Amino acid sequence: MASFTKEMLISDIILRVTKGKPSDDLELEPTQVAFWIDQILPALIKATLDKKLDAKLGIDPDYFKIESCIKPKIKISNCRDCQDNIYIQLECSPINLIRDLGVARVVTEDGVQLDKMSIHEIDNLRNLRFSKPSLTNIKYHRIKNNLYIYGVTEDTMHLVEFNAIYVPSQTIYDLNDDDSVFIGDEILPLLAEELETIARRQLYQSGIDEENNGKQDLNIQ
Amino acid sequence: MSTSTALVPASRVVALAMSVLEEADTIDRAFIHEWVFEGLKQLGPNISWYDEAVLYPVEYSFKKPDNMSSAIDFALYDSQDHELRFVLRGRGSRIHQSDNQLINDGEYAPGLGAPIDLSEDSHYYNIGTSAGAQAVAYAYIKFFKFPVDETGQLLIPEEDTMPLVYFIRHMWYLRKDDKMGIAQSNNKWIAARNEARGAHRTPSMLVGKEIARTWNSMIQKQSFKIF
Repeated sequence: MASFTKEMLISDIILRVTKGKPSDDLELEPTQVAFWIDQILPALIKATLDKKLDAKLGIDPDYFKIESCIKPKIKISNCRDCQDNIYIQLECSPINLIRDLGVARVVTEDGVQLDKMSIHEIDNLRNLRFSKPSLTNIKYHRIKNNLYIYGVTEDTMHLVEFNAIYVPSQTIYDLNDDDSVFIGDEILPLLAEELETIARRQLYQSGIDEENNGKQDLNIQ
Repeated sequence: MSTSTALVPASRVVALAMSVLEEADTIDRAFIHEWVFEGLKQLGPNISWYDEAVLYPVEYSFKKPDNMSSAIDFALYDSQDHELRFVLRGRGSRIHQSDNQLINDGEYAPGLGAPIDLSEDSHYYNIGTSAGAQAVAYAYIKFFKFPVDETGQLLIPEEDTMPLVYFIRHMWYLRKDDKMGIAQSNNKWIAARNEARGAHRTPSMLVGKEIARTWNSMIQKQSFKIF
């Protein structure tokens, strides 16, 4: 997995589209390139990892982030009749992959694995004798970066902490220029090509297939 | 060969099943615990499911153990630890009058060998309210139960592990609605289930010897030395 700073990545794109001669009055802001990266990168990672999962190859370990000793929190309902929600909050939002495999593993501090639930199947599971969530059979479902825990109650939540391994989604826009960006080796060339195309389209108002030959007719000055 | 009494946690069966279900993930695993239970019910009881308990009467009724599947044997005792005879009359309460006046009056008492009426319903064993029934102090029951650990999670007889893996595989194809997989896995599961059921019925060497001894005692022996 390639690792470089945000500034290096954006500068490379600018150098590519200006043929290595960026001028002072260049109409291309680094923040805008960062915004494009945030638009393209999650889709590229998702497409690449979904393809790997489909081919039963698994996810490269480089993509994973590990978080340890996450204490559960409680979201108390304002309504007296509604149930309070117990959840753990991850630092980053996991990437959305098929069957939510972006979250690879959630375990208690004792190593007991938590089963993932599809949000549509929670009520079915609750009606099953041995699959229903309990303190010895804890389950979760995910909404954004919150994992909602079932089987732990307000009284027992202090007894347990969790460890999670997941593929985080990266937001380049908010990073500092010297912050590291991790991009998979197979994704980097695809990302650069996409960014280059968008940047050229913006700078040179091209990208339209005027000759109807299946190619973008770049009119580079 | 008869089934051993060794029990393993259901999580071992689940892990073994997950190792052969390449595409399954923990979303499926959430259901697999229940499939283990369903499969175990279909394999039926074996000697690992056995348990016994002492029951005490409240208002002529004994509450059945919560984890009981079905009764194997039942015995009534008085406060002097003498066994009392009983007759299982069936289900629910009596709808015919008892025509044995000696028993009704308590003259022919359980201590003298008079049988006590016993019936059962979904949750209780009930003894008759005749005069002699008051002599009952407690009951022993042997019963089949679903083996569970101290936290209520299923325990699995070790030799039922592979049949259950086949069942889980079959259920997983059902969940996916994979018709080819359903057709292929069903035969394997049925074969494994039948083999396991056969093994459950096979007596152990100890029981086998006892059967042989009983039968042997019924065969007339000829003492050639005396003859």
